[in-house]
Amino acid sequence: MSLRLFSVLGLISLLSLPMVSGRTWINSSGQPIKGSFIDLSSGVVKIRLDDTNKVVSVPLKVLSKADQEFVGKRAMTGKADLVALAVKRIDAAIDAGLEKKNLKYNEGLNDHMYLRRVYLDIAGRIPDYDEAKEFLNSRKKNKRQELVIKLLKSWDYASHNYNHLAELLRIQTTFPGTILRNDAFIHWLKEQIDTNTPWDELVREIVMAEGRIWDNPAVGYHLRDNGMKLDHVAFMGKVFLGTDITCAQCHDDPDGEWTQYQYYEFSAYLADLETKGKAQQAKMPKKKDLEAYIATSQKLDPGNEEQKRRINNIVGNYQRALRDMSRASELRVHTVANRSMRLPDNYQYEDGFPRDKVEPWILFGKEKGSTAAALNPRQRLAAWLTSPKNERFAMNIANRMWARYMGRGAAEPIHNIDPEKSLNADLLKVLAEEMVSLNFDLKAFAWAIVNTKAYNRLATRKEVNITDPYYFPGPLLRRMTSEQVWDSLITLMVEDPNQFKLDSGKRYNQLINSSQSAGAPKDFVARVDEFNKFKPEQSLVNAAGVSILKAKPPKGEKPFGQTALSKKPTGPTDEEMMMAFMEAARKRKLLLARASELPQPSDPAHFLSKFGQSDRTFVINASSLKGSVPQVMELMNGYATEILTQPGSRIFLEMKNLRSNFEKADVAFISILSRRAVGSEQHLLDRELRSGGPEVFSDLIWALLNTPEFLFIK
Amino acid sequence: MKDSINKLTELDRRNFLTGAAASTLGVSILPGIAGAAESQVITPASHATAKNVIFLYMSGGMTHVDTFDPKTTSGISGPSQPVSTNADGVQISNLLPELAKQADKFAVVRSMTTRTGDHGGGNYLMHTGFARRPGVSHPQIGSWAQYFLGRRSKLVPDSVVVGGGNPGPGFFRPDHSPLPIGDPNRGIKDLLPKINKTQFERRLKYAETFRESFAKGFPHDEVKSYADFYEETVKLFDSKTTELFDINKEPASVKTLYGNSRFARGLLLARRLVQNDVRYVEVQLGGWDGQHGNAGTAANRTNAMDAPIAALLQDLSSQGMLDDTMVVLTTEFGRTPKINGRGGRDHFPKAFSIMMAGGGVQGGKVIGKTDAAASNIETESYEPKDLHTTVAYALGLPVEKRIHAMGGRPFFVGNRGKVIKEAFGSA
Repeated sequence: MSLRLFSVLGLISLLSLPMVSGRTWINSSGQPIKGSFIDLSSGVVKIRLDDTNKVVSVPLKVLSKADQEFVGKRAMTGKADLVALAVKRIDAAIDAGLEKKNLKYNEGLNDHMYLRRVYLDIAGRIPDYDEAKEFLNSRKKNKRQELVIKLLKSWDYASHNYNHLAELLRIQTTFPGTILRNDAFIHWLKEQIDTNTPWDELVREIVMAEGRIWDNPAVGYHLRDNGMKLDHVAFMGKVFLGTDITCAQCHDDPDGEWTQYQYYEFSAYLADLETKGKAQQAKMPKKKDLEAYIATSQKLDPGNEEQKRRINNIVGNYQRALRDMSRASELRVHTVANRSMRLPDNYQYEDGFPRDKVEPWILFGKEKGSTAAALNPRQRLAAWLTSPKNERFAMNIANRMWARYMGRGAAEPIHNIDPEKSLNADLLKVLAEEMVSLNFDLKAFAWAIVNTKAYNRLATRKEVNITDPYYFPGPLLRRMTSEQVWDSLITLMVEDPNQFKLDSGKRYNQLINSSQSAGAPKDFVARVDEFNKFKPEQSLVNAAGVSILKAKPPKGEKPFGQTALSKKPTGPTDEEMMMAFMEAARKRKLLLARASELPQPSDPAHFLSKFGQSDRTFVINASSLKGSVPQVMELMNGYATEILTQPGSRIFLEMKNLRSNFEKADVAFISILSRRAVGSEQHLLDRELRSGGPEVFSDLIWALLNTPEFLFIK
Repeated sequence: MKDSINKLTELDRRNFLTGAAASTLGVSILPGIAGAAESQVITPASHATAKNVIFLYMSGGMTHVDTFDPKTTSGISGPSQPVSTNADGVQISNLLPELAKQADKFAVVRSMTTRTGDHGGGNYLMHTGFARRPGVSHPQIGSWAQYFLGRRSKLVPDSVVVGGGNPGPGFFRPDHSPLPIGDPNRGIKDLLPKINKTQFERRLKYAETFRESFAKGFPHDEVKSYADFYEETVKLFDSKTTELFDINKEPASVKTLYGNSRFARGLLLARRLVQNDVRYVEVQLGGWDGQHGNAGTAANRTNAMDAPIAALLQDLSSQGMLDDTMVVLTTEFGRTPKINGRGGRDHFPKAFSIMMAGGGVQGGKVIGKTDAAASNIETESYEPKDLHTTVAYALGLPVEKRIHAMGGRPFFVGNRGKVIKEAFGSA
């Protein structure tokens, strides 16, 4: 019995699990509880209950063996040794590379640099003023380690890593060409990241998923490419295997690597995958009842010829609306038995005739015959794809993560790795091996990366071109991603950048799900009306479920400013200022939430698009870190800058109650650049703060935002 | 320092501003540093007949029967009748009376066809010449022109889109993006700082100080390119540049000629920009899809396009600009010749019409022909990519040259379409 078979068995049991966000846990006395895993510390597991959303603590040892194993894979506790080993091996690989070329590591990082870097890399945003102060003022010896652990456990991590995954999987808020929203999948994916579902499990789950979006959110992955299966296969190769077979879709790869026949063989694993089916029957109340209800509720007289026509019209509108809604149920992932892949009509090579049947065959490696026999093609694909023996699967994700933290992959291009051509072949190998040793635990892998010597060095000062060899004496200088810039601005604007999150799409799915009974005419009409009036912003809610369009700042609290003493009898309170600030944002249609929670892809006129967010149609070069005039305009005069430089933004409230202008300037520097003013900056402040008027702080904030230091991670 | 600024005259102040940005934000004065690396600047081919393009996009599907391909067939003619124009043998719909007086300046192509019947896909195809495909984002002609011919002016962007969203650079560098302008009456006013000059200057001065240590520590091109973008942006704020975008500076008689609608003002802005070194301007007129393209919509939209476009042609011609400025009017697809049950016309990709003028196009001409039902093309047909190839050809872009983008995939400007040669008087 090989390891392979074991994982395949695990896969089968996974299939039979009901697909809900939580999990059914069994304690030692056999009691089941439903909920999702949050954290393990000191032998106690925290679980969020599905029905009440309450968090309960359960000692690890009372849980079933399967549950303990489940927790073990996700929790960071107990992994320190494995992580340390990984760090050691990665360091050794880089040491060797540098030594061979007679190169040295870059200079180290001071606390300010370290703080900013790990926040941006793990949390996806700059630290806020309090977070920065806490770290900078701490005298604890292991404060860097503590910070990393804290960030890896934070929801910020989920938000940030979601952005990367969303770019890879080209996730859009609405499935292309339909009205169906994808909120459920987006929400589910963030939960998987938050609770640290191992990468191999996550990929298996999305590849295997079946059903409609409201039955099983994981189907969002296949539904994304509804109607374009062959493209879907090419994306799969790039995203999960770092293998680009795109060209072979239409012709043999001119470089001789992949033939069109191979492309079709690989695609054959998905031959029986279907993403569209019949719409569910839209259930309407009886027409007679609906007419009667409309007549009463709209005060129309069915006896009157003209009013009768009006009633008919209205009923007709509801019928049409429901039909449109029910078309969303066409999107369903299912398996059509015995359907096979065939070569295209214009097939031109000698190894097959047009319309020939093609049997599934993997791109490389081995697929075990004995296990394969028991499974359907998609199950076989998932098993082979995510197997620890499939080198490229581990190599791909390890290399991608390395590239994110270091500015370049151990092998490039990351979508099409050629290990033999990599200058850092040993490093690549070690990264892939450690990914497997850590059981595809991405948090643990991130933990390892940030502890390597290379990561803890200043970005390389010299310009490095994409074609130059690089041996990782430190990370490359990176411009923040579009999402990092936006999330950092949000951090400067509001008290809690994570306050508003996209909900699970439950309400939306309830409205659109056409399998439900029609209900009484009144309920039916109410449901269709609510659907028609549904605004995407309704799904962007705070913890109390209040939409960002309606939410008010917390009452009676003084989250900023210091004490009652500092509250002046005249002038607006913090609360009033925040309220005015939120109003100002609403007026400008600025949703003050993190990029991961906003419509995807963002509107082309949105800040995020201008800074190069992926438009979620392709993978290679989908996002851009290049500068442009519209970006500069955004930072100079855009709405975000405009309201950020207004009283009521978080950074202003932080400054408001401080007496000295120099303390205020300190807040601005630490909030925006995570450091204090130095040298000539001090001189400028000395001069301007003494003579400057009240707008000097707006100017200061503006100027700090409009420096490259804000945009780049050094 | 501050006092000395206040004493400067307006002109000096402007120079100071640009200068300040230059020194402050570390601007390198190397020409085109931001875009040169990846562009391939060539001289336009000798057959080039156009230097500028004004691209008029009728968004939502313009009915060909009620504009440039009117019929007398019953059940098809709808609200329009063919009328004669000032060009011999050219008839267009009576819904376009002003354009009828300018027909000697434009050519009508009645043999356009496309396979894309949805708005999104059709819009994409007509704007790029390429079918929309996952994995690829194609540039518009303005960006292609900048890629091959280089940026024309250091003061203004190479292409501008008025009232048509923000199309982006396709697979070219971000600085190949058209500059989007929402309201032509406001020009770039909405982009300008909402603070006074003194404060703006103060902010730039602060930024200068704050960037020093970082710029010195990391002398990278990427970091420097931001400085270039700051320089360009500050230039746009310069009142001289703002003026180029300000149609209120046009004489009252010209404004009256165009009319007051937003579309009319967009055309006026287009002319003004082309006059001031912008190479490519797109202006959109939406609303063609309203109410299933019924007779009311047609009359309303033809009315909206007629006089302003006639004014544009007249104005370009009287200013001597029509010779090297090509005006193209197009749409994603036509509308069913047969009037449907709701008294309207549905999507009809099979046959539709476009109009071209100037930049070498021979006016007073009809190219292609549909049958009496306006449904079947009886002559050689042209696809969106052929229109793109034609425009690229007129600009002298190398339509046979393969370039590589998006991980080495091959692309051609115009997507290897054919040139509509009749438009230029040959064939």
